[in-house]
Amino acid sequence: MAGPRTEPAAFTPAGGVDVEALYRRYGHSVLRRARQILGSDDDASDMVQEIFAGLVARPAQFDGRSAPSTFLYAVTTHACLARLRDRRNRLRLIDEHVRQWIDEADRGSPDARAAVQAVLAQLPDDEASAAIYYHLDGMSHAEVAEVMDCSPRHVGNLLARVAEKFARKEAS
Amino acid sequence: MSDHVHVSDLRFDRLIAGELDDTAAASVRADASACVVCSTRLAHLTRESELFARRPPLVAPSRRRMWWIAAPVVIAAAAAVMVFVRTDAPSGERTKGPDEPSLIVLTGAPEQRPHVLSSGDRVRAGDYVQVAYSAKRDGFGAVLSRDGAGTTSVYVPADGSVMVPLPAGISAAYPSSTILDDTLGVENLVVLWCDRPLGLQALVAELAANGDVAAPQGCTARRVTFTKEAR
Repeated sequence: MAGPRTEPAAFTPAGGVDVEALYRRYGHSVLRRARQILGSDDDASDMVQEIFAGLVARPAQFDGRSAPSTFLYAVTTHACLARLRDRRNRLRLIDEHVRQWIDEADRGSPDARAAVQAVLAQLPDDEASAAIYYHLDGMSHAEVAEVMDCSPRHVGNLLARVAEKFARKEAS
Repeated sequence: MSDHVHVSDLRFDRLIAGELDDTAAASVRADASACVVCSTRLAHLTRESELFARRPPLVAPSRRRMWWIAAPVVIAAAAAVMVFVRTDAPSGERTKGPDEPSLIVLTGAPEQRPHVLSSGDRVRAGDYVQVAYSAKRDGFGAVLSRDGAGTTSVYVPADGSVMVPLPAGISAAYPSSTILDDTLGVENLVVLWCDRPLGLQALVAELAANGDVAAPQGCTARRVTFTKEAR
């Protein structure tokens, strides 16, 4: 990437993380993605609060080695997946499913979104994350690899595994 | 599996956040302008960002909620205390049948063993509040509060907008305890156990308006009014 890089004011002059600045600059993105994954405005708002309150309490989570955007994409994905699985495993009494992707998530094909919805909560974390980034966020393999800190080839393998599971589910 | 033809939200988010250098930003804008789906998406995300920026500043929670730090001692205390809990229903609660859950509220200073909190008791800022229950069937629950300043809070669940699941059990605990803040005065606590998960918004609104919550159909309520003093 050529030329000077303009970094958001994510760090204070004293070297600490400026969580309020991150919240202002990236909160909308965290909120949107949490809403897309969880399918609930209330849950998404809670997730925003949880993630940024977590940063206030544990600022060392963000060490500045990655861009704030990729860091928060990963944190949001993991937190939302944990909540989905929590619902699935612990809240077995609630008749609640992985919800429909909302319209604004219309990046992958409808079939892909439906397949993601059906099996997301059952996938291993790395496969579920890759599926979210690819099908929900519309990222390229290279972008997914950057957020997940792995190679694009590995992303391809993860998505291929997900596709196999989708196909198996459809066949069954 | 091929990559997408549209600009990803990540690239747009980076553009909007100002993460990109001039060249990369120009590239994203050029890609967006070449595709009506992308340009529409960029406009939407930009607007979304502007609306979010109008929100109030990030505020740390005024009440610290602990995920079951005091679990062993409170559960043990609950088991002991359950033996002595009255079986007749206090005023304002529906009559309990043999299958109805028992609800008790425990409190104590962090360094103390918990004791049952009853209406008229005095507690201190910094004390914790924990609800325990015994139920023969699965249910859902919440703990709501209106403090001396008239502010309503949801103590349980610690997050989310619906009741937490409460599996059947004896001397079981609601999933989190609450450290009371320093808002002094009379506080109304409403503990709910329900046979189905209810949304909290209407219940909180009712508590804010009336200072109490009528137990919805299928719910058991326990109310405790206590006075919070300075530590």
